[in-house]
Amino acid sequence: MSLVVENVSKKFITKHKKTHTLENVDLYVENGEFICILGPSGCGKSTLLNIIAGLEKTTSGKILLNSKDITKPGPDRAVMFQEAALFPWLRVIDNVEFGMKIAGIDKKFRRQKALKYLSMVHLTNFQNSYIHELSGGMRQRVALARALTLDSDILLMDEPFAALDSQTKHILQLELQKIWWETKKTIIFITHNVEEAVMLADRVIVMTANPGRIKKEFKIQLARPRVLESIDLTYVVKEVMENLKEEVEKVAKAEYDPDWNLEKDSILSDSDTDMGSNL
Amino acid sequence: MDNTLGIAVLASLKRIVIGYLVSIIIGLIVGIIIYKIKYLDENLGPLILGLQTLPSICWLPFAILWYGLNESAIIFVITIGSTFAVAIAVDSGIKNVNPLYIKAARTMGANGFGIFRNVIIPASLPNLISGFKQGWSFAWRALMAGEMLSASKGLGQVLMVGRDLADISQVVSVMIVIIVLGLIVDKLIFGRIERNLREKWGLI
Repeated sequence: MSLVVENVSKKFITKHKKTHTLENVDLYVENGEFICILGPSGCGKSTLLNIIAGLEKTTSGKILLNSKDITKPGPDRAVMFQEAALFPWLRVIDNVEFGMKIAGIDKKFRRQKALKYLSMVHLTNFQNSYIHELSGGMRQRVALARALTLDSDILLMDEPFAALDSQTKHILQLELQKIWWETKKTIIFITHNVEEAVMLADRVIVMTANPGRIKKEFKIQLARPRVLESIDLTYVVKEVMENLKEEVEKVAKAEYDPDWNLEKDSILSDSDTDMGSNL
Repeated sequence: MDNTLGIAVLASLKRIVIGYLVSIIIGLIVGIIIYKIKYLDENLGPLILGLQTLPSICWLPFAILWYGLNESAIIFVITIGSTFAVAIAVDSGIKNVNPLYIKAARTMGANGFGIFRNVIIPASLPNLISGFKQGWSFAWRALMAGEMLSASKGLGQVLMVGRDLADISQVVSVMIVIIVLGLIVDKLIFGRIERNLREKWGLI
Protein backbone atom coordinates (compact mmCIF):
# COMPACT_ATOMS: atom_id res chain seq x y z
CA MET A 1 0.00 0.00 0.00
CA SER A 2 1.19 3.54 -0.55
CA LEU A 3 -0.25 6.85 0.53
CA VAL A 4 0.61 10.04 -1.30
CA VAL A 5 -0.39 13.48 -0.09
CA GLU A 6 0.08 15.59 -3.19
CA ASN A 7 0.37 19.36 -2.87
CA VAL A 8 -2.57 19.62 -0.52
CA SER A 9 -3.85 23.02 0.52
CA LYS A 10 -6.83 23.82 2.67
CA LYS A 11 -8.40 27.17 3.26
CA PHE A 12 -11.28 27.80 5.60
CA ILE A 13 -13.33 30.78 4.54
CA THR A 14 -15.92 32.14 6.91
CA LYS A 15 -17.75 35.44 6.99
CA HIS A 16 -15.22 37.01 9.33
CA LYS A 17 -11.94 35.59 8.22
CA LYS A 18 -9.99 33.45 5.87
CA THR A 19 -7.63 30.88 7.37
CA HIS A 20 -4.94 29.26 5.33
CA THR A 21 -4.77 26.08 7.34
CA LEU A 22 -2.64 23.95 5.05
CA GLU A 23 -0.34 25.05 2.27
CA ASN A 24 1.31 22.82 -0.27
CA VAL A 25 1.72 19.80 1.95
CA ASP A 26 3.49 16.88 0.32
CA LEU A 27 3.91 13.57 2.06
CA TYR A 28 4.70 10.05 1.05
CA VAL A 29 3.97 7.16 3.39
CA GLU A 30 5.37 3.71 2.79
CA ASN A 31 3.83 0.43 3.76
CA GLY A 32 4.35 -0.44 7.42
CA GLU A 33 5.75 2.95 8.41
CA PHE A 34 4.91 4.72 11.63
CA ILE A 35 4.69 8.44 10.92
CA CYS A 36 4.18 11.05 13.62
CA ILE A 37 3.00 14.50 12.71
CA LEU A 38 4.08 16.99 15.30
CA GLY A 39 3.20 20.62 15.54
CA PRO A 40 1.88 23.43 17.69
CA SER A 41 -1.85 23.84 18.23
CA GLY A 42 -3.63 25.15 15.21
CA CYS A 43 -1.02 24.07 12.70
CA GLY A 44 -3.52 22.05 10.75
CA LYS A 45 -2.34 18.58 11.69
CA SER A 46 -5.85 17.43 12.60
CA THR A 47 -7.15 19.00 9.41
CA LEU A 48 -4.57 17.06 7.44
CA LEU A 49 -5.65 13.86 9.13
CA ASN A 50 -9.30 14.60 8.46
CA ILE A 51 -8.49 15.15 4.81
CA ILE A 52 -6.63 11.85 4.56
CA ALA A 53 -9.54 10.18 6.36
CA GLY A 54 -11.92 11.65 3.82
CA LEU A 55 -13.89 13.60 6.42
CA GLU A 56 -12.91 16.89 4.78
CA LYS A 57 -12.12 17.97 1.25
CA THR A 58 -9.01 19.75 0.07
CA THR A 59 -9.11 23.20 -1.42
CA SER A 60 -6.48 22.04 -3.86
CA GLY A 61 -4.26 19.02 -4.23
CA LYS A 62 -5.20 15.43 -3.69
CA ILE A 63 -4.68 12.31 -1.67
CA LEU A 64 -3.86 9.06 -3.39
CA LEU A 65 -4.21 5.74 -1.63
CA ASN A 66 -2.75 2.94 -3.75
CA SER A 67 -2.89 5.38 -6.65
CA LYS A 68 -6.61 5.99 -6.26
CA ASP A 69 -8.13 9.34 -5.34
CA ILE A 70 -9.68 9.64 -1.91
CA THR A 71 -12.93 11.53 -1.68
CA LYS A 72 -14.84 10.08 1.26
CA PRO A 73 -14.26 8.18 4.48
CA GLY A 74 -14.08 4.41 4.53
CA PRO A 75 -12.79 1.37 6.38
CA ASP A 76 -9.60 1.34 4.31
CA ARG A 77 -8.50 4.28 6.44
CA ALA A 78 -9.49 3.48 10.02
CA VAL A 79 -9.53 6.43 12.42
CA MET A 80 -8.95 6.73 16.15
CA PHE A 81 -10.21 9.98 17.63
CA GLN A 82 -9.09 11.84 20.70
CA GLU A 83 -12.31 10.89 22.48
CA ALA A 84 -12.87 7.23 21.92
CA ALA A 85 -16.10 7.72 19.91
CA LEU A 86 -17.47 4.43 21.16
CA PHE A 87 -21.23 3.91 21.15
CA PRO A 88 -22.75 3.98 24.64
CA TRP A 89 -25.72 1.83 23.70
CA LEU A 90 -23.54 -1.11 22.71
CA ARG A 91 -21.45 -3.44 24.79
CA VAL A 92 -17.70 -3.42 24.33
CA ILE A 93 -17.74 -6.50 22.13
CA ASP A 94 -20.51 -5.07 19.95
CA ASN A 95 -18.57 -1.84 19.60
CA VAL A 96 -15.53 -3.73 18.41
CA GLU A 97 -17.68 -5.66 15.95
CA PHE A 98 -19.43 -2.57 14.59
CA GLY A 99 -17.21 -2.01 11.58
CA MET A 100 -17.45 -5.63 10.56
CA LYS A 101 -21.23 -5.58 10.99
CA ILE A 102 -21.46 -2.65 8.58
CA ALA A 103 -19.27 -4.53 6.15
CA GLY A 104 -21.69 -7.45 6.29
CA ILE A 105 -19.29 -9.97 7.75
CA ASP A 106 -21.06 -12.96 9.27
CA LYS A 107 -21.75 -13.28 12.97
CA LYS A 108 -19.45 -16.06 14.06
CA PHE A 109 -16.49 -14.75 12.17
CA ARG A 110 -17.08 -11.25 13.53
CA ARG A 111 -17.14 -12.52 17.09
CA GLN A 112 -13.94 -14.49 16.62
CA LYS A 113 -12.07 -11.58 15.14
CA ALA A 114 -13.38 -9.09 17.70
CA LEU A 115 -12.23 -11.34 20.53
CA LYS A 116 -8.83 -11.72 18.93
CA TYR A 117 -8.20 -7.98 18.86
CA LEU A 118 -9.82 -7.43 22.21
CA SER A 119 -7.34 -9.85 23.72
CA MET A 120 -4.52 -8.03 21.95
CA VAL A 121 -5.44 -4.94 23.93
CA HIS A 122 -5.93 -7.05 27.07
CA LEU A 123 -9.62 -6.31 27.59
CA THR A 124 -11.21 -9.73 27.14
CA ASN A 125 -12.72 -9.66 30.62
CA PHE A 126 -14.66 -6.52 29.78
CA GLN A 127 -16.27 -7.68 26.58
CA ASN A 128 -19.79 -7.51 28.01
CA SER A 129 -19.40 -4.19 29.81
CA TYR A 130 -20.91 -0.95 28.71
CA ILE A 131 -18.70 1.96 27.78
CA HIS A 132 -19.51 4.09 30.79
CA GLU A 133 -18.02 1.41 33.00
CA LEU A 134 -14.59 1.83 31.43
CA SER A 135 -11.83 4.30 32.22
CA GLY A 136 -10.43 6.65 29.57
CA GLY A 137 -7.46 4.42 28.87
CA MET A 138 -9.64 1.34 28.53
CA ARG A 139 -11.92 3.14 26.10
CA GLN A 140 -9.03 4.05 23.86
CA ARG A 141 -7.91 0.43 23.90
CA VAL A 142 -11.37 -0.64 22.76
CA ALA A 143 -11.25 2.03 20.07
CA LEU A 144 -7.89 0.64 18.96
CA ALA A 145 -9.25 -2.91 18.82
CA ARG A 146 -12.18 -1.65 16.81
CA ALA A 147 -9.90 0.15 14.38
CA LEU A 148 -7.74 -2.96 13.97
CA THR A 149 -10.70 -5.20 13.07
CA LEU A 150 -11.30 -3.10 9.98
CA ASP A 151 -8.12 -4.50 8.41
CA SER A 152 -7.52 -1.08 6.98
CA ASP A 153 -4.65 -0.15 4.69
CA ILE A 154 -3.69 2.60 7.06
CA LEU A 155 -4.53 3.58 10.64
CA LEU A 156 -5.02 7.27 11.37
CA MET A 157 -4.72 8.38 14.98
CA ASP A 158 -5.67 11.90 16.04
CA GLU A 159 -3.93 12.59 19.38
CA PRO A 160 -5.51 9.43 20.81
CA PHE A 161 -3.64 9.58 24.13
CA ALA A 162 -3.87 13.33 24.68
CA ALA A 163 -6.78 13.13 27.10
CA LEU A 164 -5.25 10.45 29.29
CA ASP A 165 -3.25 10.79 32.49
CA SER A 166 0.48 10.37 32.01
CA GLN A 167 0.78 6.88 33.52
CA THR A 168 -1.97 5.44 31.35
CA LYS A 169 -0.49 7.30 28.41
CA HIS A 170 2.86 5.71 28.98
CA ILE A 171 1.40 2.22 29.17
CA LEU A 172 -0.61 2.72 26.03
CA GLN A 173 2.41 4.03 24.16
CA LEU A 174 4.31 0.86 24.97
CA GLU A 175 1.30 -1.26 24.01
CA LEU A 176 0.87 0.58 20.74
CA GLN A 177 4.53 0.07 19.90
CA LYS A 178 4.13 -3.65 20.51
CA ILE A 179 0.88 -3.94 18.54
CA TRP A 180 2.34 -2.00 15.64
CA TRP A 181 5.34 -4.29 15.64
CA GLU A 182 3.12 -7.37 15.58
CA THR A 183 0.49 -6.22 13.08
CA LYS A 184 2.88 -4.31 10.81
CA LYS A 185 0.20 -1.69 10.24
CA THR A 186 0.91 1.62 8.55
CA ILE A 187 0.15 4.34 11.07
CA ILE A 188 -0.13 8.11 10.90
CA PHE A 189 -0.15 9.49 14.43
CA ILE A 190 -0.90 13.11 15.31
CA THR A 191 0.50 14.46 18.52
CA HIS A 192 1.96 17.52 20.15
CA ASN A 193 3.99 15.43 22.56
CA VAL A 194 7.57 15.24 21.35
CA GLU A 195 8.67 12.29 23.50
CA GLU A 196 5.69 10.26 22.32
CA ALA A 197 6.47 11.07 18.72
CA VAL A 198 10.15 10.19 18.92
CA MET A 199 9.45 6.98 20.82
CA LEU A 200 6.87 5.64 18.40
CA ALA A 201 7.77 6.93 14.96
CA ASP A 202 10.03 5.96 12.08
CA ARG A 203 9.68 9.50 10.82
CA VAL A 204 8.66 12.60 12.72
CA ILE A 205 7.24 15.40 10.63
CA VAL A 206 7.28 18.84 12.20
CA MET A 207 4.71 21.26 10.87
CA THR A 208 4.55 25.03 10.96
CA ALA A 209 1.44 26.94 11.86
CA ASN A 210 -0.35 29.62 9.89
CA PRO A 211 -0.09 28.47 7.25
CA GLY A 212 0.44 24.80 7.95
CA ARG A 213 3.45 23.55 6.04
CA ILE A 214 5.90 20.78 6.58
CA LYS A 215 8.87 22.32 8.25
CA LYS A 216 11.25 19.44 8.71
CA GLU A 217 11.29 15.70 8.59
CA PHE A 218 13.30 13.74 11.15
CA LYS A 219 14.21 10.15 10.41
CA ILE A 220 14.32 8.43 13.80
CA GLN A 221 16.87 5.69 13.62
CA LEU A 222 16.87 4.55 17.21
CA ALA A 223 16.72 0.82 17.80
CA ARG A 224 13.43 -0.74 18.80
CA PRO A 225 11.82 -1.45 21.18
CA ARG A 226 12.26 2.07 22.46
CA VAL A 227 11.69 3.31 25.99
CA LEU A 228 11.08 6.89 27.06
CA GLU A 229 13.86 6.75 29.66
CA SER A 230 16.67 5.98 27.20
CA ILE A 231 19.35 8.64 26.80
CA ASP A 232 19.48 8.28 23.03
CA LEU A 233 15.81 9.06 22.86
CA THR A 234 16.24 12.10 25.06
CA TYR A 235 18.93 13.36 22.73
CA VAL A 236 16.76 13.06 19.67
CA VAL A 237 13.87 14.62 21.55
CA LYS A 238 16.04 17.63 22.28
CA GLU A 239 16.86 18.05 18.59
CA VAL A 240 13.25 17.84 17.54
CA MET A 241 12.12 20.09 20.33
CA GLU A 242 14.52 22.85 19.25
CA ASN A 243 12.94 22.73 15.86
CA LEU A 244 9.45 22.72 17.25
CA LYS A 245 10.14 25.51 19.72
CA GLU A 246 10.28 28.14 17.03
CA GLU A 247 6.81 27.21 15.89
CA VAL A 248 5.43 27.06 19.42
CA GLU A 249 6.79 30.54 20.03
CA LYS A 250 5.17 31.84 16.86
CA VAL A 251 1.78 30.53 17.88
CA ALA A 252 2.15 31.82 21.43
CA LYS A 253 3.18 35.24 20.17
CA ALA A 254 0.00 35.39 18.16
CA GLU A 255 -2.02 34.63 21.28
CA TYR A 256 -0.03 36.68 23.77
CA ASP A 257 1.87 39.91 23.18
CA PRO A 258 4.24 40.11 20.26
CA ASP A 259 7.19 40.63 22.60
CA TRP A 260 6.60 37.40 24.53
CA ASN A 261 9.59 35.12 24.52
CA LEU A 262 9.75 31.48 25.56
CA GLU A 263 13.03 31.75 27.43
CA LYS A 264 12.85 35.22 28.85
CA ASP A 265 9.31 35.06 30.13
CA SER A 266 9.18 31.61 31.66
CA ILE A 267 9.23 31.74 35.44
CA LEU A 268 12.22 29.45 35.87
CA SER A 269 14.55 31.85 34.16
CA ASP A 270 16.03 34.05 36.87
CA SER A 271 18.81 36.36 35.78
CA ASP A 272 20.20 36.71 39.32
CA THR A 273 21.24 33.07 39.54
CA ASP A 274 22.50 32.71 36.01
CA MET A 275 26.25 33.14 36.05
CA GLY A 276 26.55 32.91 32.33
CA SER A 277 27.12 29.36 31.13
CA ASN A 278 23.88 27.96 32.59
CA LEU A 279 25.53 27.34 35.97
CA MET B 1 -75.19 3.17 28.85
CA ASP B 2 -73.03 0.54 30.39
CA ASN B 3 -71.58 1.12 33.80
CA THR B 4 -69.64 -2.07 34.46
CA LEU B 5 -66.08 -1.15 35.39
CA GLY B 6 -64.43 -3.83 33.30
CA ILE B 7 -66.20 -2.73 30.14
CA ALA B 8 -65.31 0.88 30.90
CA VAL B 9 -61.64 0.05 31.34
CA LEU B 10 -61.54 -1.88 28.11
CA ALA B 11 -63.26 0.89 26.21
CA SER B 12 -60.86 3.51 27.52
CA LEU B 13 -57.81 1.37 26.89
CA LYS B 14 -58.87 0.61 23.38
CA ARG B 15 -59.22 4.31 22.59
CA ILE B 16 -55.93 5.34 24.07
CA VAL B 17 -53.96 2.50 22.57
CA ILE B 18 -55.22 3.30 19.10
CA GLY B 19 -54.84 7.05 19.55
CA TYR B 20 -51.39 6.78 21.10
CA LEU B 21 -49.99 4.38 18.53
CA VAL B 22 -51.26 6.53 15.68
CA SER B 23 -49.70 9.56 17.33
CA ILE B 24 -46.34 7.81 17.58
CA ILE B 25 -46.39 6.86 13.92
CA ILE B 26 -47.42 10.32 12.77
CA GLY B 27 -45.08 11.97 15.27
CA LEU B 28 -42.12 9.92 14.01
CA ILE B 29 -42.87 10.74 10.40
CA VAL B 30 -43.41 14.44 11.05
CA GLY B 31 -40.35 14.64 13.30
CA ILE B 32 -38.11 13.04 10.70
CA ILE B 33 -39.48 15.21 7.90
CA ILE B 34 -38.92 18.34 9.92
CA TYR B 35 -35.39 17.23 10.64
CA LYS B 36 -34.59 16.42 7.04
CA ILE B 37 -36.10 19.44 5.31
CA LYS B 38 -34.54 22.58 6.70
CA TYR B 39 -37.18 24.83 5.18
CA LEU B 40 -39.89 22.97 7.04
CA ASP B 41 -37.85 22.98 10.21
CA GLU B 42 -37.60 26.74 10.20
CA ASN B 43 -41.22 27.36 9.26
CA LEU B 44 -43.23 24.50 10.70
CA GLY B 45 -41.17 24.13 13.88
CA PRO B 46 -42.58 27.17 15.69
CA LEU B 47 -46.08 26.32 14.43
CA ILE B 48 -45.86 22.88 15.96
CA LEU B 49 -44.55 24.29 19.20
CA GLY B 50 -47.48 26.68 19.24
CA LEU B 51 -50.00 23.99 18.51
CA GLN B 52 -48.62 21.92 21.33
CA THR B 53 -49.50 24.57 23.86
CA LEU B 54 -53.16 24.24 22.95
CA PRO B 55 -54.59 21.81 25.52
CA SER B 56 -55.80 18.83 23.54
CA ILE B 57 -59.27 19.03 25.03
CA CYS B 58 -59.74 22.27 23.13
CA TRP B 59 -59.73 20.15 20.02
CA LEU B 60 -62.87 18.26 21.15
CA PRO B 61 -65.46 20.67 19.70
CA PHE B 62 -63.53 20.62 16.42
CA ALA B 63 -63.35 16.82 16.49
CA ILE B 64 -67.04 16.43 17.24
CA LEU B 65 -68.01 18.74 14.40
CA TRP B 66 -65.67 16.85 12.09
CA TYR B 67 -66.33 13.25 13.12
CA GLY B 68 -69.63 13.47 14.90
CA LEU B 69 -70.24 12.41 18.45
CA ASN B 70 -68.40 9.07 18.35
CA GLU B 71 -65.19 7.10 18.96
CA SER B 72 -63.24 8.81 16.22
CA ALA B 73 -63.68 12.20 17.83
CA ILE B 74 -62.11 11.05 21.08
CA ILE B 75 -59.34 9.16 19.34
CA PHE B 76 -58.63 12.29 17.29
CA VAL B 77 -58.26 14.36 20.43
CA ILE B 78 -55.95 11.75 21.98
CA THR B 79 -53.80 11.57 18.88
CA ILE B 80 -53.48 15.28 18.40
CA GLY B 81 -52.54 15.72 22.05
CA SER B 82 -49.64 13.35 21.74
CA THR B 83 -48.36 13.81 18.18
CA PHE B 84 -46.72 17.17 18.66
CA ALA B 85 -44.83 16.09 21.74
CA VAL B 86 -43.49 13.07 19.88
CA ALA B 87 -42.60 15.07 16.76
CA ILE B 88 -40.67 17.67 18.71
CA ALA B 89 -38.83 15.00 20.69
CA VAL B 90 -37.90 13.16 17.48
CA ASP B 91 -36.57 16.32 15.87
CA SER B 92 -34.53 17.39 18.88
CA GLY B 93 -33.41 13.83 19.58
CA ILE B 94 -31.91 13.46 16.13
CA LYS B 95 -30.35 16.91 16.22
CA ASN B 96 -28.67 16.19 19.53
CA VAL B 97 -26.87 13.06 18.41
CA ASN B 98 -23.17 13.61 19.06
CA PRO B 99 -21.64 14.31 15.62
CA LEU B 100 -18.57 12.35 16.70
CA TYR B 101 -20.61 9.14 16.51
CA ILE B 102 -21.58 9.90 12.95
CA LYS B 103 -18.00 10.71 12.03
CA ALA B 104 -16.82 7.45 13.56
CA ALA B 105 -19.50 5.46 11.75
CA ARG B 106 -18.57 7.04 8.42
CA THR B 107 -14.93 6.12 8.85
CA MET B 108 -16.05 2.54 9.39
CA GLY B 109 -17.81 2.55 6.05
CA ALA B 110 -21.39 3.27 7.04
CA ASN B 111 -23.45 5.72 5.03
CA GLY B 112 -26.93 7.11 4.54
CA PHE B 113 -29.50 4.65 5.79
CA GLY B 114 -26.91 2.53 7.56
CA ILE B 115 -25.92 5.47 9.72
CA PHE B 116 -29.57 6.26 10.38
CA ARG B 117 -30.41 2.74 11.45
CA ASN B 118 -27.23 1.89 13.35
CA VAL B 119 -26.28 5.21 14.89
CA ILE B 120 -28.93 7.91 14.81
CA ILE B 121 -31.85 5.85 16.06
CA PRO B 122 -30.09 4.18 19.01
CA ALA B 123 -28.27 7.42 19.86
CA SER B 124 -31.48 9.43 19.98
CA LEU B 125 -33.43 6.77 21.85
CA PRO B 126 -33.22 8.42 25.31
CA ASN B 127 -34.69 11.62 23.87
CA LEU B 128 -37.30 9.67 21.95
CA ILE B 129 -38.44 7.73 25.01
CA SER B 130 -38.81 10.92 26.98
CA GLY B 131 -40.91 12.31 24.12
CA PHE B 132 -43.02 9.15 24.05
CA LYS B 133 -43.55 9.45 27.78
CA GLN B 134 -44.63 13.05 27.47
CA GLY B 135 -46.95 12.14 24.61
CA TRP B 136 -48.48 9.37 26.68
CA SER B 137 -49.20 11.76 29.50
CA PHE B 138 -50.90 14.20 27.12
CA ALA B 139 -52.82 11.33 25.54
CA TRP B 140 -54.02 10.08 28.92
CA ARG B 141 -55.28 13.50 29.92
CA ALA B 142 -56.98 13.99 26.58
CA LEU B 143 -58.65 10.59 26.96
CA MET B 144 -60.09 11.41 30.36
CA ALA B 145 -61.26 14.86 29.40
CA GLY B 146 -62.74 13.61 26.16
CA GLU B 147 -64.60 10.78 27.85
CA MET B 148 -65.94 13.01 30.57
CA LEU B 149 -67.38 15.41 28.07
CA SER B 150 -68.72 13.19 25.38
CA ALA B 151 -68.31 9.45 25.73
CA SER B 152 -70.96 6.77 25.80
CA LYS B 153 -68.75 4.37 27.75
CA GLY B 154 -65.36 4.38 29.35
CA LEU B 155 -63.73 5.45 32.60
CA GLY B 156 -64.33 9.18 32.18
CA GLN B 157 -67.97 8.58 31.47
CA VAL B 158 -68.37 6.32 34.52
CA LEU B 159 -66.81 9.13 36.54
CA MET B 160 -69.43 11.57 35.29
CA VAL B 161 -72.25 9.11 35.95
CA GLY B 162 -71.02 8.82 39.51
CA ARG B 163 -71.33 12.57 39.83
CA ASP B 164 -74.80 12.56 38.31
CA LEU B 165 -75.90 9.89 40.77
CA ALA B 166 -74.20 11.80 43.63
CA ASP B 167 -72.33 8.55 44.34
CA ILE B 168 -69.00 9.58 45.76
CA SER B 169 -67.85 6.01 46.25
CA GLN B 170 -68.25 5.41 42.54
CA VAL B 171 -66.36 8.58 41.75
CA VAL B 172 -63.47 7.78 44.09
CA SER B 173 -63.24 4.16 43.03
CA VAL B 174 -62.99 5.16 39.38
CA MET B 175 -60.29 7.67 40.29
CA ILE B 176 -58.35 4.90 41.98
CA VAL B 177 -58.67 2.69 38.92
CA ILE B 178 -57.41 5.53 36.75
CA ILE B 179 -54.42 6.04 39.05
CA VAL B 180 -53.59 2.33 39.08
CA LEU B 181 -53.76 2.09 35.29
CA GLY B 182 -51.52 5.12 34.96
CA LEU B 183 -49.00 3.69 37.40
CA ILE B 184 -48.95 0.33 35.63
CA VAL B 185 -48.04 1.92 32.34
CA ASP B 186 -45.51 4.29 33.91
CA LYS B 187 -43.75 1.72 36.02
CA LEU B 188 -44.05 -1.46 34.03
CA ILE B 189 -43.61 -0.10 30.56
CA PHE B 190 -41.81 3.23 30.58
CA GLY B 191 -40.02 2.51 33.84
CA ARG B 192 -38.55 -0.68 32.47
CA ILE B 193 -37.45 0.90 29.21
CA GLU B 194 -35.85 3.82 31.01
CA ARG B 195 -34.03 1.61 33.46
CA ASN B 196 -32.70 -0.44 30.57
CA LEU B 197 -31.42 2.69 28.83
CA ARG B 198 -29.89 4.02 32.01
CA GLU B 199 -27.99 0.75 32.52
CA LYS B 200 -26.47 0.99 29.06
CA TRP B 201 -25.75 4.68 28.89
CA GLY B 202 -24.76 5.10 32.51
CA LEU B 203 -27.14 7.74 33.85
CA ILE B 204 -28.32 9.57 30.82
